[in-house]
Amino acid sequence: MFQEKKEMEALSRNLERLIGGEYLGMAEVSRDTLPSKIQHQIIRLSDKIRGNEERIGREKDEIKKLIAEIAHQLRNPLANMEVYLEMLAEEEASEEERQFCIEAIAASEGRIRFLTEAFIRMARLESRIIQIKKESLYLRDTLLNSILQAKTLSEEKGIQIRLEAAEIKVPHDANWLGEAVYNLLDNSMKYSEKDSYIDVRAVQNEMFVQVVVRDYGIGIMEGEENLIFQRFYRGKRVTVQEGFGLGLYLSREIVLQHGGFVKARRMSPGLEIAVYLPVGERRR
Amino acid sequence: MEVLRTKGLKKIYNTPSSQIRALDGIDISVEEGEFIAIVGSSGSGKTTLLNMLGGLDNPTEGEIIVRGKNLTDMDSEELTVFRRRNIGFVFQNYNLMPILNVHENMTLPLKLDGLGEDRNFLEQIIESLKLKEKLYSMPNTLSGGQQQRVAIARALVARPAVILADEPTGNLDSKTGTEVIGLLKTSAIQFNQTILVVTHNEDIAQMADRIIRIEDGKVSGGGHEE
Repeated sequence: MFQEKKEMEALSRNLERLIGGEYLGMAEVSRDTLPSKIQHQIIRLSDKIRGNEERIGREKDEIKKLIAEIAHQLRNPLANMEVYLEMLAEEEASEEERQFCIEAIAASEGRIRFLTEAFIRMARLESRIIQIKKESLYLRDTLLNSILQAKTLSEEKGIQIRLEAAEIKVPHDANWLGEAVYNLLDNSMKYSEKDSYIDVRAVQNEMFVQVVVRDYGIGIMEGEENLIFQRFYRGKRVTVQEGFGLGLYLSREIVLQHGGFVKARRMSPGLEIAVYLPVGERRR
Repeated sequence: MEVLRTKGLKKIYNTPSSQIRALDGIDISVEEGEFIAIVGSSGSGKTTLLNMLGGLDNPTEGEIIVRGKNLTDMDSEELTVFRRRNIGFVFQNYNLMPILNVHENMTLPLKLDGLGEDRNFLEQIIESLKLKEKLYSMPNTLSGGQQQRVAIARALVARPAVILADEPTGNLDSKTGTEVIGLLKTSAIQFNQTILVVTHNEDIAQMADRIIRIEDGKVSGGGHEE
C-alpha cells in the first residue's frame, strides 16, 4: 500500500514536470506493474512532444536553407540579365549584338521562370496544400501522357521511348503522377546520348504496381542510389548538363504522397528508376 | 531526437587457444524516424550487434542506450519488460505463433502488456500492410511474404521505440523482398517509426536512409548521422 502511494506520487511529479515544459528521462525501473506502465506511457508522451518540437525546429532550418538556396539560384540568371540589359542600353551596339543580347536575356528569363515554377510546385507539395486525389485509373493512359509531354525533346535528341504496360488500374492522381513520370523521363533524356532508347515498363506485383524507367545514359556512381533523390543533389558524373537537382526530388515526393516509394538501380549502361505504387487505397 | 546509441560496444569470446572479437568497439547513433540498413558480410558481427541492441545478448564491454536508458544496467526481469515496451523484432523466419490467427498474432504484444487495442491505429496498420482479407487465416496458410507482413504488423502495433529486423527478406524471392522492405520504409514514414534492418543484400540496403557498414566487428561507415 505504502509502495503504491510512493509510485503514484512519482507519477504525479513527472506529470507536473511535463506540464512545466521539461522533458523526462528514462530513470525509472521497468516493472510489470500498472504504475510502471503508466510511467512508461508518460515518458513516451514526453518523447513525442520532444520529437515534435525538434521536428518543427528542423523544418524551420530547412526552410531557411531553402530560401537561401532559392536566392542563390536566382542570382545567376538575374546577373546575366543585368549585364545584357546594360549592353543593350549602349548606343553603339550593332543590330547583331542587340539580337544576341535579347536572346541571352530571353534564356535567363526562361531559367528564372523554370526555377520559380519548380519552387512553387515544391512548396505546394511540401506544405501538403496539394492533396493527391487518388482515383482508380488506367496507369497506361497516365504513362502515355507523360511520354507525349516528353515528345518534343525526345524527337529533338532522337531518343525513342518504348512503353510496355498491361491494362492495369491503379489508384493514383493522374496529374501529379504524370508529372513524377515526366520528371524521370526528362532526367533520362538529359543524361542520354543522341539516338538512344528509354524503356518504360509497368508491372503488377502482390502489394505494389511497379513503374520502371530505364535509360542507357551516363548512369550514376556506386552509393548514389539514394542521394540522387535529395533536393539540389547533382550526380557525380554530371558535367555539362544543366539542372537544379529538383526533378527526381519532386518525383520522389509525389510518389511518397501516394503511399509508395522509389528505388534507383545502377545498370550497365544507364540507370533504372522504379516507382512503387500501393495497389489499393492507402491513407497517409 | 536520438533514440538509440552505443558506446564502445564489444563482444569478445574466449576460446582455449584464442580470443574472438565479434564486436570490437562499436559506436553508433540513431535518430527518431530513421530507416537504417546495417550491412556486412557474414561473420562481420552485424547480427551480434542487432541482438545486443535488442537486449537478446550481453556485451562484454560498452553501453547500449535506448531512449536514454542503459540496457546493460538492467536485471533480467526489467530487461524483459523494457524490451516488450520499447523494441519490436522482425525475424528472417517470421516467428509467428502457429496456433494463433493473423489478428491474434498481431495483437499479442498488446495482450502481453495488458494494453487495450487502439482500434484506429490497428486498422491503419492492417490497411497499410494489406492484411484485411487474411485477418482470420492461420500462419501456415500464408505465403512467406504474407507471413512477414504479419510479423511487421505485430512489431508496429506496440509502437516500440525501435524496430529491429534481422535479414527480413532472407527467405523471400527478390521481388517480394523489395516489396517487404518498401512496406517497412513506407511504415517508417507513415508511423514515424525508427527501423534498423540487418542485411547482406546491397540492393536492399540501398533503399535505406542511411547505411551502417560493419567489418570485422568495427563500424567502417555510416555510424553517425552527419
